[in-house]
Amino acid sequence: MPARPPVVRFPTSRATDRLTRPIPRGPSSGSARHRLGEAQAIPEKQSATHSTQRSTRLSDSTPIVRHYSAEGAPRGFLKFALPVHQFFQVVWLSRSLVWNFVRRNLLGRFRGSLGGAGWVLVFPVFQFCVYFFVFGILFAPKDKLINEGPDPFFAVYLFAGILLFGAVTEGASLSLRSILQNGSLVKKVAFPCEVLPLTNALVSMVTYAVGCVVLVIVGLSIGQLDIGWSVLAWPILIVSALVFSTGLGLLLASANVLVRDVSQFWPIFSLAWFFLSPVFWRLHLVQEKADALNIPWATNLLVLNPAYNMLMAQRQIFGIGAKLTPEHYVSLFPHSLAQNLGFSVLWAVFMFFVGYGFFMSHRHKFADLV
Amino acid sequence: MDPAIQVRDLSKVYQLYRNPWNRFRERLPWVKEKLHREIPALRDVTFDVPPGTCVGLIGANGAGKSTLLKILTGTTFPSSGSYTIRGRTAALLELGAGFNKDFTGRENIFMNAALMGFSRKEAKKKFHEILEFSELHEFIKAPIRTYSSGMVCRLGFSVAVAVDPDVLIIDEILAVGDAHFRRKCAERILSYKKRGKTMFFCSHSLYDVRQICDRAIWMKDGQMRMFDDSKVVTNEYSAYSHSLDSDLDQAEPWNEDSGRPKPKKVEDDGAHAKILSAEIIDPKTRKPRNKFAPREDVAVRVHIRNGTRYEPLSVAVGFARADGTLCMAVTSEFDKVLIEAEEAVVTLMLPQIKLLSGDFVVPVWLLDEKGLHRFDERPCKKNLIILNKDKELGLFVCERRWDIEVVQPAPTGLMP
Repeated sequence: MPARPPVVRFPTSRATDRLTRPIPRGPSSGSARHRLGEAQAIPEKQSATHSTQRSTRLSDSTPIVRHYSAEGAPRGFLKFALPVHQFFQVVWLSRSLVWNFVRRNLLGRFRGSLGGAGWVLVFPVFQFCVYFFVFGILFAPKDKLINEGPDPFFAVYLFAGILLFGAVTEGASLSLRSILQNGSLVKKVAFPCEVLPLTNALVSMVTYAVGCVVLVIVGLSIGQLDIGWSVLAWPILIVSALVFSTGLGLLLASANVLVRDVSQFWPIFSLAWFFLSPVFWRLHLVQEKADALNIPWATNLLVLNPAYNMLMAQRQIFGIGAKLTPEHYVSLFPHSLAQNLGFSVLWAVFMFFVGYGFFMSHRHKFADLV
Repeated sequence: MDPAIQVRDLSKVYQLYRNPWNRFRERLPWVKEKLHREIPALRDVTFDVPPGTCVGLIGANGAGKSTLLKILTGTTFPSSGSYTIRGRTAALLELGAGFNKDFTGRENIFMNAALMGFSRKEAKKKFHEILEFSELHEFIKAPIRTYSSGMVCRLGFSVAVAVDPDVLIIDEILAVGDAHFRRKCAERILSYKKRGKTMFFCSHSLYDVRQICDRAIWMKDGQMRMFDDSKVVTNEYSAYSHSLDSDLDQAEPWNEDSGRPKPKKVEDDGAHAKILSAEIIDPKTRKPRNKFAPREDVAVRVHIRNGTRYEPLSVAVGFARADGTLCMAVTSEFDKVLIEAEEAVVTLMLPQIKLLSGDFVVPVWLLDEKGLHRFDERPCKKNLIILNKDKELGLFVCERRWDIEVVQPAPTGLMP
């Protein structure tokens, strides 16, 4: 009998037959250690050559061995958070599933409606019109660097901010209940449920991208945008917002399974976060207020907000405010685009690491708690 | 050959907290007492399933059957112990998982297939097979909220059986759709078996377990009570649940018609095989008669008509006491007798009937060639009444002989 190759797979039906990965060998014993969810193979006569990664197609005659031992299963945050690359493998191998979920979420909203997918466009257009009249004309905040009178700049500034902030929190809010909502799936079907928050984040990124198109069109037509080379950095921002939103979604989804109070707490938190983020306010105006209140350090705390860098990068990418005087521009955007993007990426990676580790280290409880 | 499923000391304990705060309080370092109740769902289950075997899982509700299936599927995880499954696994625990009623049948097939682990390409390749099996051609482009619940189940089952795994884990899902579709499902399951797939099959129908499975596991209170040949286990289980005199075993088909529950309705559209009449006759005169003495010859005459699909049929006859105890049941499939005709009169000859006095219900079933699917069932027009003129007591006549071995002869003179 030939030596059995160590094939590791997710304990699902077939998707996972193609999910193969090398066996993480535990430090304490020579036997295979197991990752929850991603399954394990038992190499009884394991040869070194076989521990390289390989993919097993369904047509392969390679025997697939799935083994799980409660005693050998890893526990703890880091054991799950560190092999973060496995998430990407799972996503790639179950891309058909991810696509189906995204499709269902996107199309499901408009199913049966007359407007169909056109509604994606209607909301941001309406949103912009409201901001333009309310905040650009009616209640334009006083900014002595800008002339008195109507302030279409602020409407664009606000709209750009709300698009991104809304997308990130929308993705997280959708994910929040995703495990509970798909309870019957989690209980009855062995599928990689860690892709659920990703699908929600992808869906919200689609609405974000559509919103940005509206932003560009109306922004250019009222002359408040200055599209330059910086727009090429947009994909970096999209990816980091996607990763951040996925990480946050993973964290919230798993926390909400463990403690249902999370779903009550999250709206409060996101409201507070909304006002702590530079959606409405501009940093130099807050600085003036802080100086007047004799707490000049307060703005330094605001800058530590993960949303700060993303929102600022979003505006810089579309050249919002490029028509202002250099003095005004610097006070509005004290950090360069590169700085903002860099911190956005760092925040996204950190958030994803935390969310993924937390999610995966509690994944084995989901079916029992849902 | 390595076992396809290997289970070692598998246990699962559920923790039940009286209120959600206790889960936290228990974590605090200064809280020493236990704030939860432990509910053991599985206790030290150990068994091996050789490749190509079909194993049935039986037991009362809450005996741990579903927990075991879910652990083997990989959705929930054991508290202790280990398992190994060799081969690609597919689990059919729930039909139509992830169906969205606003989407069309076609879209839901793709969604469900993705959940089962198909890539888009594979799903496309299998799509026609799935559609063919579900027989929902004209509805496939309609949203499934317009489907009847039976159609949704059919769609779910069709996707589920499109998988071609080595190890198939099935929860009770055979009872799906109408009679015709149920038969197709049973056939599909049998074809898996024929191709040497390993099957792990949970059912409340002892009859199905006996017919389909080679071996059976009897679960009781989370423990494995018995693991043996399926006939042995189902007999033991059946005897056990009768002894409890409970309704646990209601799903056992032989019991259904014998008194308590009403016979199941099979639709009367002429498309399926039917029993036209069933009566007890005297084999000599060929005339209906229902009062017999023990050891007389009895016959049961069944008039059947085949369905539009013309398939080989088998007939089953049972004798049940009014209280529901099934005294005897035979099917022609046991004796390898199949009926291949459009219409036929089948007569079961029972020379020298062994039943003693009593009033017996005589249910008749019309089954497919494998004895698996029931097309029709009805009791004979009149009950069989056996009037005993002898002094024998009980249910059965027994052939008997008495042997006497004299250990010590009586003292002479005392015997009359």
